[in-house]
Amino acid sequence: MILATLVPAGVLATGLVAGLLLAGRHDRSGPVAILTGLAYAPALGFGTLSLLWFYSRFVHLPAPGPLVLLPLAAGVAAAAFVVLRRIAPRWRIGDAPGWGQRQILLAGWLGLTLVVLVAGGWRWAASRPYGVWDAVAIWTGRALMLARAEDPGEVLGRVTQAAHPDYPLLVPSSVAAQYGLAGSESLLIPQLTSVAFLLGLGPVVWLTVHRWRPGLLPVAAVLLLWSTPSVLVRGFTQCADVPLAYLFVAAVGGLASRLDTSLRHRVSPWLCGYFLGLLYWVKNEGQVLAVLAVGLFVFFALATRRLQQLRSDALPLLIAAAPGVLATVLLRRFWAPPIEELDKYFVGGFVERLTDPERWRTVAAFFLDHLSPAGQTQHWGWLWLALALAAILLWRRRRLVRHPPALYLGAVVLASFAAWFMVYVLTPYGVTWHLRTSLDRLLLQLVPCLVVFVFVAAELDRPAEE
Amino acid sequence: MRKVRFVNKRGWLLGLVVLVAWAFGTYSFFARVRSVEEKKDQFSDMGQYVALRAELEGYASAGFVSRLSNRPKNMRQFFTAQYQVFPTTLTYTGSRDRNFKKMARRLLKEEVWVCVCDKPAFESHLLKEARAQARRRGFELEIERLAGAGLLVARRRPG
Repeated sequence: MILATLVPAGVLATGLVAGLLLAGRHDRSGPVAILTGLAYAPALGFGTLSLLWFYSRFVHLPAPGPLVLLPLAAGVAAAAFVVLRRIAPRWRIGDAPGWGQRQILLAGWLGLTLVVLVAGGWRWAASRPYGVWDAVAIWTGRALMLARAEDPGEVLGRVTQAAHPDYPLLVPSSVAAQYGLAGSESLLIPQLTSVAFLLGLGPVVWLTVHRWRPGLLPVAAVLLLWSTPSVLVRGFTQCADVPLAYLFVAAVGGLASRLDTSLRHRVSPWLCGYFLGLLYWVKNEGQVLAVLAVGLFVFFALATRRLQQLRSDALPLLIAAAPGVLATVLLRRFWAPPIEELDKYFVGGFVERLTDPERWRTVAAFFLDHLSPAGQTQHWGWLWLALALAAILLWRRRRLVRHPPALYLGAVVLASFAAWFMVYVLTPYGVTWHLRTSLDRLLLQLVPCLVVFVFVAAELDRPAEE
Repeated sequence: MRKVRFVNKRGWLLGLVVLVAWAFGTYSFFARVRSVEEKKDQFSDMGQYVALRAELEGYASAGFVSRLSNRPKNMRQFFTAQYQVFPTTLTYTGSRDRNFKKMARRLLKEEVWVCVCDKPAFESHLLKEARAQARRRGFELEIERLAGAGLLVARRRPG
């Protein structure tokens, strides 16, 4: 039990230190430093561990054990000691510039939210120790198979089509790697991994909004997200949709910062690329979202005449995204059995499904029901209403039009919602069944990005130049 | 970090909106926590959990019976699929079967069996019959209940 707690905590701590190292100079000074580390920690910790596990097993080496990983973690810590020594962050909140009583009050509110969500979430985790249906069928079940298998490729080949053998392995392989490190298959490992991504969602949303709108707005964004029942429940019941939502925000927020040349602290293109690769490696939906994010990034860079910027960013982005993308390609090519399920979308009555008005009506009705402030409050609380009110209260549309990062975020959110809408219109399964069983989770993947967009586009104070 | 003046009207309005949304969201979350034990679909999730546990505890085969108002057929398909991967084989006893003697005899052949059920009368009938048969054969049943009533794991122990 102690090792089962220490292993995820150690992975997260290594990710935190690596996050501090890789963050820009601005992001690792003052009180922002810890939040930056926390924001990047789950991706750099669990994401890297999963890739290490996959590539080791793929070339028939044993899973990376303590003899490999402990020196690696020590190296990261030593590098951090050398690099960060000169930039000694101010750890005392009271000493930090701009931290008055209101900021401390907000930090207290955030702390209270954390306590409340952990208290409630614990009961969810206890009542469903292996998670909900999807988690058991795909993530936790797969992690057990991978951890025990002599030849993971052979075992995956026997998984039935209904259990998604083609799904990328970020979550299962990171859990399988931790099983090996801890020497046990404790339930705490998948539970803590899942909670780490849920908690990482807060800092990553905070950091992304903070880049353009420091002060109150990032805290408001995190409070909204961390009090949305669906986000919390899915996080505590081990759905991979929460890690996907987290990586989506990290990748899209980073790319948006690359579009803003006036920003002092843009995310490195290497980090953006790495997040994109992990987004590709987490779930099938992540691949669609990654392609949308990159496509719109290229479009906006060209539309705003940032060709030079695009040229200098392209190579680091591609190199850093390669480990995640390549792992997915290798998995599909050599390990997972061929999948017919995805082909069904494009064959056998594609045109009939696309032109069936009844399908469009049904999908629209479900979306409206989910997005209506009055409906589905048990899932979404007042999230939609609060976002609509925040947009009405705070947006200044004339200025928004001249803000490429906010426009980019908005375009990504809009395109993602449209893509998920079309997934349901074209579904080869029963439309109502498909909507009923998955719409909640698919919207959850987009919600953090939507929250970031609303608050980046908002303006509470007049900017300095006006 | 830039200091934010939290004095303008829009700031107060936003604070109020977020406070109300936060309070309602947190309340809804706890409301869902309270209702989770009553949710029927929890049984199917727990059924998978228990089947995986049978696998973890190293039983070569396990018995399984479900008596649920929802998706028993789906569960059977799921377990059949999942157990093509895991070495444990699963003996599934039909949920609509009312012959408790036959059902208990079949389940008691396994070292461990699982009952996922939202009908207390069904469960008590089955347990009564299984205990009686177990005693006749010279062993006891060790019952572990999970997540409240409705889900149990039964293991054979020497009498």
